[in-house]
Amino acid sequence: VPDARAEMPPRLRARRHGLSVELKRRVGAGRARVTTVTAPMADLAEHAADRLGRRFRSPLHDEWVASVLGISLGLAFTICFLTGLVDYLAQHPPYWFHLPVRPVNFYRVTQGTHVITGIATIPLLLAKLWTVWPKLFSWPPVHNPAHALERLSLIPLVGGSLFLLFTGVANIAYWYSPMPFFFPTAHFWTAWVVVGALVIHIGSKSVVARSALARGPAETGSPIQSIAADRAGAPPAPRLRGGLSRRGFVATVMGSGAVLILTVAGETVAPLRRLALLAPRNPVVGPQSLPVNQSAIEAGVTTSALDPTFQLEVTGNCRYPRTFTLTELRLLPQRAAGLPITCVEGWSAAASWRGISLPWLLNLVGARPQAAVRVESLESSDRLYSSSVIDPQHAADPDTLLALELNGAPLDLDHGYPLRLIAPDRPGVLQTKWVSKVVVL
Amino acid sequence: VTDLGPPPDELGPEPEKGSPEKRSQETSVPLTGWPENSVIHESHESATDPLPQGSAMANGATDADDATDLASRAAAATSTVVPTERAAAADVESGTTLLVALGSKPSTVVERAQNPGPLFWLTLTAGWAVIVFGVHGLISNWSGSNPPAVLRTVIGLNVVNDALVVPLVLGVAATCRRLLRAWLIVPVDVGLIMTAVVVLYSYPLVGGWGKSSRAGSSRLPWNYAHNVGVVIAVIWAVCALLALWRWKQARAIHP
Repeated sequence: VPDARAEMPPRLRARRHGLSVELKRRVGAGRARVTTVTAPMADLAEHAADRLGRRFRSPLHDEWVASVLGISLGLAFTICFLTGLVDYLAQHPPYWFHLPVRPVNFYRVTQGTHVITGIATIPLLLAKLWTVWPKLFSWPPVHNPAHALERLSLIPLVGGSLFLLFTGVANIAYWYSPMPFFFPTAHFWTAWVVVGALVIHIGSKSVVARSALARGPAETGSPIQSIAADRAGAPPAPRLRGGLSRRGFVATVMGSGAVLILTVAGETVAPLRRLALLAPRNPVVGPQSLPVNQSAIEAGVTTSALDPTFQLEVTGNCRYPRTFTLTELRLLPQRAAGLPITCVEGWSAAASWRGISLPWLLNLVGARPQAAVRVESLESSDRLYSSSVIDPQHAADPDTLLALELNGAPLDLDHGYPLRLIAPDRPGVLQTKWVSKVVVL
Repeated sequence: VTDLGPPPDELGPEPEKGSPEKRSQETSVPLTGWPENSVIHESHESATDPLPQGSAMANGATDADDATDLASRAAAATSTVVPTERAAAADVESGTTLLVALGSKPSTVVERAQNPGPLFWLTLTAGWAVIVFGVHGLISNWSGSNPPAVLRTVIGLNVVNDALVVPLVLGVAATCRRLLRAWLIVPVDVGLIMTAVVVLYSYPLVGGWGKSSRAGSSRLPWNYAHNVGVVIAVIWAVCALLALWRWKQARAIHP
């Protein structure tokens, strides 16, 4: 292939060469100008970081404290993530996921653990962020591309963690106005982002944390202080007088978490009920001594639920579809079961229910065994959770009831009168109230 | 590898072994796998007892001179590696020590700084993959998750924490140190931390924004302002007992 430049006329070749030289000269001059401007700024920033770093003389800004809090946070976040995963999948089940029917308290435990652990994480996270705050001013901010990628992941880690705790607390307090999104969806997907950032953080800090823990709290200095001191060739500044020790600080943070647990956990852990001063629910406060998440007024069913002509329709993929009046339902064989009602907000309470066993009813209408079922409420169909699907395992369980009574009395209107679903190990939002239709799938 | 020291050009001429400039006994140990002129300086005297338990500093010293002396001893006790490259200072931060931890010691500091260990790269790759999965989930569920609102909240909380909450806490802590007697600092710090946590958590409960007459009486059933007051009172009662105990200790030391 002939060289294009060789065929170029000599004048044009000389002109191109001149342009190239000129371009290089100008780029070089531009770089020099940029360096002239930025170099003093970089020096200034470094100097400022050094000076600022020297001001953090508290021993609490050190790697041992950060490591202990970080490991605690990592454990708490892992527990929250795994239990949250179960909770989300239980509430929005994909085709491949079914909560086990037994033990009946499985969902109650996972959801309660999720909320309580999340609340206990609040002081841990704030303390950890406070401890490592001086690192914001370490200079230079990044050392190499790998470090840049690691530091970039701190934005979703810190912001995402704060987001999860903030939205979680707002949700259990029914404070929806600062959340212009559907809480479960935003909370769930942001949790994935945080977990990804947490994995990066663990990978980049595990050696530092192990080293700090091995050395103990007495031999590690403030991280930014060490960096500044190293650069200046000076020893770290002396420790401040008085104040909390590292162990004392960690104990105080853990103690704060314990205070929150003690004053909240009673909404699901019965023995702590009397201490639950800060719980959004009390498991014995409500109609028939059971809390209500959505009232009949909110659901807009006060008229239809009290209609004397109420009928339950059983239809779908069955041989003998039919309807039952309330009187007929009361005359059918009744079964009692002690089952918890568990809300996604974290509260739960056990109660005694009595009603028609769903598998018995399905057998009566000639549904095939192991059929899935959809129950529909008197609520408007465009309302969220106005119906729910019961998987075959739950539909076949004799303790899955269409309940008529709660704690020995007819259902209160707010608890789903005249008829509601109660099944073992299901989220409260899927325990459909004011049931008017059962569709065999 | 513990603390990485400053580059040699900032350290000045290295004192000779056993010279008066070094107060304690010292040995220089060549570090396998590091540049030839890298050495570990180890102060045996301090290393055996860098910060004795029961010392003034360990017990929260009130004497500034003692604290200074002990801090300098603690600093001297730390094994210091003097590498030839500044890049090593970033090394621990960026997780490059993983190579060493995994038993694969690179030949130079520069190589270590530029070549983080396999665990670091594994978690970095896996972590970013999970982050992308989460972001994809947020975007693909746009109507429910409202990603712009989530992003605003995430960044807003980041800024609020870093620019408001932490400086405020630092300011309060500094004020306490300035105003309070030494024996009172710990109880007040403990009380303030616990109070802040309780108030932060219960803020929406006290605000009562989730209450609704349509929702029934079982939602947010308590007078939370009262209950928060009770919890805070209990916390400060415990802190008062702690303060009393510390005051007695201080009186016993300095009657």
